[in-house]
Amino acid sequence: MAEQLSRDDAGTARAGSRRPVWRPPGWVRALGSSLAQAFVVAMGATFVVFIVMRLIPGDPARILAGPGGSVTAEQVERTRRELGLDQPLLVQYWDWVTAALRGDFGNSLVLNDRVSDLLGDRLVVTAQLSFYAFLVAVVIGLPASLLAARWQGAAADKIARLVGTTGIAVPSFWLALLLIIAFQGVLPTFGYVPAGRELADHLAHMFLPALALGTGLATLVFETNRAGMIDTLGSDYIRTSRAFGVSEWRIFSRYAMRNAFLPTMTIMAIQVGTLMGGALLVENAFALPGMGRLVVQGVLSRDYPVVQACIFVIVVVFVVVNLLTDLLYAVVDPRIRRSRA
Amino acid sequence: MTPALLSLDDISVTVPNPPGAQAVAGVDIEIMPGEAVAVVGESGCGKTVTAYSTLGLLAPGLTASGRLTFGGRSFDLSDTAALRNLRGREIAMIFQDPLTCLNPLMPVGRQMADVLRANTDLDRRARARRVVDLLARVGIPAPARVARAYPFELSGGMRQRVLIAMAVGCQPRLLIADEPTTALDTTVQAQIMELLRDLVREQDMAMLFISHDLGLVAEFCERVYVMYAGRVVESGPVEQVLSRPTHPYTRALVECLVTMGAGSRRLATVPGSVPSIDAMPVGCRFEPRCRFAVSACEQSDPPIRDVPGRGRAACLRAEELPAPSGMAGVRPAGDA
Repeated sequence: MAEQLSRDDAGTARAGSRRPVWRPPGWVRALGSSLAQAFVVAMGATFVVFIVMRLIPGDPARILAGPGGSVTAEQVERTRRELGLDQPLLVQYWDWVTAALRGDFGNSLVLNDRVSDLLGDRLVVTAQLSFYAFLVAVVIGLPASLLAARWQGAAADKIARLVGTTGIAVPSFWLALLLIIAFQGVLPTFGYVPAGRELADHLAHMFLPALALGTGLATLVFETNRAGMIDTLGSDYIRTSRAFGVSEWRIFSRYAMRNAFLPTMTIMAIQVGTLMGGALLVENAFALPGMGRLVVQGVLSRDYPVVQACIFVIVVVFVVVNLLTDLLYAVVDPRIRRSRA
Repeated sequence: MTPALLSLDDISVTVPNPPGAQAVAGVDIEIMPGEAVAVVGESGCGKTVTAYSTLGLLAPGLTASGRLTFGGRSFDLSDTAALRNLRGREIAMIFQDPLTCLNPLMPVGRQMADVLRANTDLDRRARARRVVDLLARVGIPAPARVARAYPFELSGGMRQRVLIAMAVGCQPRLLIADEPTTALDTTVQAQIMELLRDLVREQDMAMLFISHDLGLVAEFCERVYVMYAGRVVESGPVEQVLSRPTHPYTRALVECLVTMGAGSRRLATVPGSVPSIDAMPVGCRFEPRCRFAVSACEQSDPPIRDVPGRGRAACLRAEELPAPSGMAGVRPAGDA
């Protein structure tokens, strides 16, 4: 074995002459493949949405051309041509995607406005709500999971798990209604105040929506991280550290917390998409002027460009967050960072 | 006579399911300073559980009872908090699978430094230097490079050397080695065993070697305890126990050894299987599989006792059994 290693040493020193072809290090290739995957996922998802929108019954050309029986077939046909809806689907998709990548989402079919202008402020509201909900999930879920894992099986752990299981099962929009009823008159349950104007008021208005949206993710973070912590604390290498007299606190804070966080991080990243989807519903409950209202109206009036743009934004956020998670994984986990295979 | 370094007195380990069942029942073990002692027995006989109980490392749910005396200090085995004081500095332990026993997300040098931090007064830089020295001491080439490596980048033998270096760094008076070579290739196995023997001599450590490999035990240990179904059934000097076994279970184990040149005989086996923990025989635990059993053996579980001229054994018929066929070529450890 000693021999094997020294040969390996020499091998590394001579690597230049033996392997003239430069091979990128593991993390570069990991980044490359993550980027490629992200691109494929984004294209695939937007394409599916594009097709599904057109499979929903209802013809925007007929809706736009005018009310009821007064419209002739020629008028409908002309409107269709004007909107470009007479083109083959693949051509339509291609035109849309290439424009979208330049930031041009076209005009709303219904509202006579550029989609990017419609999105602007609403996107900010949705992003704020999702961000606060994420904070709620992390601030509640992570500490609770650590405490529950530390005092596993204690009464507090059992109660936390019960609350957790219930929390996962409760839909966010239903929780939103409950919160509105419960906090009527105590906290603002309606409307939006921009962050720039009055920060305290802004946060007060966002508190209940963020709680409604973040609770589901909080319980998921709690369950995942608690299970991860318990698993790690029972692992062989933790036993080794214990056997060698490393203190219980150091084991908990330095070994277990970091190792258990990897799977939790993955879950959180995957849930960001769900979070933004949920945000659309919660916004409607609390009358927040976010993307939610826009999407609902867009679907009802078959306003293809608006719906597509909203989904596009969510897909891009989802893909980017997952990409960042992949990269973070490579930073945290040496088995990925250093792999040369 | 010098006092024992470690003595385990009436150790029992109770499992949660079924209630009251014992994985280890009334085990006594003694180790003298600097002595290499083996505990042998098949999987599930309680040898590993016994070792874990001495450091308070039992899995949640298992509870130990009995007394442990180490270097004159006495501990109650149910008091795991007090047993923590023994970990590292007094008793260090190495394990069977060196891959799962090292933190996969931390360079091995940092794990070693953490152990040094818990057991020595060295400052950060002194610890880093000591890590490299220790790795060099256990025969690792390029120790500075290996200190920065992660466990998955090292071979099984290297990982076990890292664990041994970690143990040596604590300068313990007793090293518990729980099947340290089971997961390794045979050639690496021999190197690791030789390293352990050298270190034990050099550091004047005692070693508790847990194994099911009678060959290794014969070569590296002075005394042996044979465990069966949670009890010690025989103990004595390695040479005596393996070449002239007294207890029928030890005889059966020794007869199962494959010897070179034995030709194409069928491999010997012990008929039957170890009794399950929730269905222990009332009498001698080995009785259902014992070819020497008589009806008295079913009545009560015989305690371990001195058998004149033959060490200690837990068998009613120890004196009257025919002379055994022992393990060929067993040498006392001192001759190696």
